[in-house]
Amino acid sequence: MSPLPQSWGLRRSPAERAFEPEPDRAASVALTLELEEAGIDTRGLFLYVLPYADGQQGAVLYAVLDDAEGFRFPDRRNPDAVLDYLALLAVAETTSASGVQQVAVDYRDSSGNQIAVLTAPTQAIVAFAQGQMSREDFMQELEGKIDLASLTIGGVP
Amino acid sequence: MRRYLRWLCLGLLMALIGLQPGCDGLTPSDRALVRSFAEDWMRSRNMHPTNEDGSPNLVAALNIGRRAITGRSGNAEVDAVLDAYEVLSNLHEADKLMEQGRRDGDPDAMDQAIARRPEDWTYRTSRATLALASGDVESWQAQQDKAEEIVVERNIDPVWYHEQSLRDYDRLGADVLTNPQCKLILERVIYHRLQLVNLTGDTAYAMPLEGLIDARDMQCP
Repeated sequence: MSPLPQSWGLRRSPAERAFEPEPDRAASVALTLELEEAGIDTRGLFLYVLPYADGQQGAVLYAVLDDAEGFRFPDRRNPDAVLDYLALLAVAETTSASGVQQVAVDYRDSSGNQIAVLTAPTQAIVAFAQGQMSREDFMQELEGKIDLASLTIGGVP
Repeated sequence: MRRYLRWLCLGLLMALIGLQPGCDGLTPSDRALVRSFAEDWMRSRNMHPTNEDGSPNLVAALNIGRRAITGRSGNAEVDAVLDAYEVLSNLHEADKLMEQGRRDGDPDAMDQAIARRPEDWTYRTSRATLALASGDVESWQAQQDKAEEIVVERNIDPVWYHEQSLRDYDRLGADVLTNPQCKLILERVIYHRLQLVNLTGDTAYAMPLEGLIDARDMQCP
């Protein structure tokens, strides 16, 4: 379908159609508190629980990891820090209590540029975190949107 | 020839997806982490522009090109999640202003955030707390009343309203004891804790009450 009606504002984008216009702020507050109580530094972490629209049950947890606002991965030496962060969010009690079916992390640099958005079903992340799914299998469950410019700087011979 | 192909492939990719040089803002370790993981994932999905030996991966180029043109992962629900920032951008900008306000005690930043999202009860509780700490009792009352009104109207679980209020008061730190509004601030902290005990039955909320009452009665100016 042509994207033009969307860009002209005649048709809502898939994201606008998929989610309620207002996120569940109480769930975000609860999840932030849970992470802080677990000793996680939540600076630069913006959590949004987006309930599905049109009466569909469940929600998506969309986490913006904002470098400009002070976000840092808990362990930068860990090559799977991104995966571990997904797991951290997926296994939280608030995540399951809020009916979150899909978790996404959106990493932004200090200029606010979106570097990568990665998402996977909560069940798959939990299975991976609990060792019930191999890393290889989990990578196939993971979907993403990558800014390739961030890969090409020094990344391609 | 191979070298030519490699650069041709990369050039095509860049033209397709409108690459911009950038990423200077990332600290080296963060950038390395994200880049390394993204490359790993792309290779596992056959979407990395080069093979492990550095040769161009034409299948990956096609895969990336197809995604760049259609913007689709092949799953409508996943596509909606990947593009969810479209519906969050205004909220995220407002949140950043509110975080600045909370971090720096900046009422102007908070007011800008509230102007963007006047119905956000979490903003109202934070602004109310800052107003009270600044001695602006009138604004405190107005913001708090509005927060409570929104919480009732939108059927928000009051537990989270009181939790949010406590977080806001916690942020004031030990300076509370020298604040001219010390007694009123501690009254509010005691009130929210008592409400949480009543709502949740969790007596942990009551544990600091004795100390808070002592501080209110003995230490406030």
